[in-house]
Amino acid sequence: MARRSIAALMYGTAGLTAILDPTPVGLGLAVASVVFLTIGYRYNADFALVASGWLLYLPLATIFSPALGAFWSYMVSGTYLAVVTERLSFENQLSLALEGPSGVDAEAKRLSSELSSRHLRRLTEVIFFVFVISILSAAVSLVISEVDILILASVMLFIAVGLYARRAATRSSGPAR
Amino acid sequence: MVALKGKLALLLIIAALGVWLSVATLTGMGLLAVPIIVMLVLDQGVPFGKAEQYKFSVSRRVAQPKVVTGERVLVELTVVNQGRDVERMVLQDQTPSGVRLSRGSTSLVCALKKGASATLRYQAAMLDPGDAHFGECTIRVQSLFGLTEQRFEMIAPASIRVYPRLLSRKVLASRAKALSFAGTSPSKFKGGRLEFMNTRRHVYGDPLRDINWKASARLGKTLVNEWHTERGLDCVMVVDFLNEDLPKVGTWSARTDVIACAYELAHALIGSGNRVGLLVLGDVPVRLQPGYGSKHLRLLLDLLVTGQEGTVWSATDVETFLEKFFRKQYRFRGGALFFVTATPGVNVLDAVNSLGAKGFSCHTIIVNTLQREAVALSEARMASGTSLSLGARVARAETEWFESELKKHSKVYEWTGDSGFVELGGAR
Repeated sequence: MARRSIAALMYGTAGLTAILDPTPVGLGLAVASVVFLTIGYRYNADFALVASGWLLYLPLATIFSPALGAFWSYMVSGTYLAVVTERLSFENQLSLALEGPSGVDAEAKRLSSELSSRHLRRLTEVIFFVFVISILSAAVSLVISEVDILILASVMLFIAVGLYARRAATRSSGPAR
Repeated sequence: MVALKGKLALLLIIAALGVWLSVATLTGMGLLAVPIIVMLVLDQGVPFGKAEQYKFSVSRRVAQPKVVTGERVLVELTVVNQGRDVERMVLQDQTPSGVRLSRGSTSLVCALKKGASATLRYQAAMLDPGDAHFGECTIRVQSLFGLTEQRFEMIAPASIRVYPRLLSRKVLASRAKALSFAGTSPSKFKGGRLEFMNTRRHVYGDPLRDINWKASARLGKTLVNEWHTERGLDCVMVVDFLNEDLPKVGTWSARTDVIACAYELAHALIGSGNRVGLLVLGDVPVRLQPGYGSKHLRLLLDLLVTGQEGTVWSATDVETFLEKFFRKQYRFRGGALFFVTATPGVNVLDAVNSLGAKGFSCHTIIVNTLQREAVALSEARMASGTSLSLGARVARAETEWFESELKKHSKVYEWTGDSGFVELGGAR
């Protein structure tokens, strides 16, 4: 069910970009995205699902840019698409296990829903880190030229997330239960 | 070994393309790399950290080791994590052929802590008689975002023996009678009731069910019915599991029907007091000396369902088997041979002609699977409409020719799952 909802969200996004960015490039990308999404959804192809999301990156950023400015529109649309396509790809795999001929074992459902909430938490962390990096980059860009933002963001990103991941890895390797 | 998934490659290509476009156009387009890199780093953790190995053990449990065709069995596959924590894991079970998933799923997606276990449960319907061997399963350990994967092939053995369902007919005894089975060996069942002989005075020890109440009331003395002693027949069923005689379409095979027919025949023969033996032609020679009773029937059924299809032992070996295992005297005891085949080939025809000429009483039971084969062909989209009906006509004509040839030395019957045995005629 979640898979269907997220796919509907993706279709909605594609439709919205086609309406709000009716340039030939925008329309072409939206149509290509719908085609990839349909293929990915129908044939459970992860590759096509991820591609369908990223095809909307440029038109979506174009739509956001008047309201948010260039920098934030790229960041917001990139983050949105990264999160949504990852979630769709995850739900897709989950649905293969859960959509049996009739009914599913209660334990399998519980284990899957536990994994699903872990996945959702990790996606929230992605959003948080991207937001922190964006804020820091925006702040730094006030004093340094714009082209350097990208390099700076990458360096800061590796440092911050690397530190977090190290801490998380240490925390998770506890004694056997 | 850790494998990089296509999704990771795609994300890296998108990020690289974004950065290149960003540099080329001097815009912030490449900022899409930021969420991608964040995802990658959060997913993979510390790249050079030394981590414990993954280690699993699997075990399988089936609810019933013996079932009849169509029955559903609960299968449980338990995986125990004996290594490091697993963030995301896909446990995929492989079902053997002749098994249809009826409830649940054969895959499980979950996270598994060190020392914890998870159980995959599903119900499977057993379609074909025989031994269903469960074994291989796959564990795919993935990172939480599924960007990298490690694959483990595991073995969790379990077997289920699938027996054919005995088709219940309303007039079982009359069908046995219709096949005119009566031999020279005295039946195990004393006082059989096939042929009425006379009435006589009741003596101590006569069973109550033999009392003729009407005659007793009429004549004023207790009379009992007398019957001719029932004679049992030494029967040997020759079941044809030769590859060329067993039609197969996709997962459908005529083997199921041949087993069902042989089982019904054996049940009818033993039920009417005959001794039944078995020879299975195919990969491995299966033989069973004629015997009585339900225990013997169970043994016969076990041999029948475990019979392997093949090409090694053909109908030309039947005589050798008979001489070797049942001695030459068998011929003089008035025994009968029952050839059970789905598509009678030249092999069976030669054997019937040769054995019939040597004085064996031969019966050929043709298991009619044409309708089921047509359905299987249609479902597999291998044939439809005109080609299907033309194929059916050709197959029918071929079978009819073999029937006419077989009738020269044997009695021929046709068996279908719906209507049972139908006599087509032939030599006695």
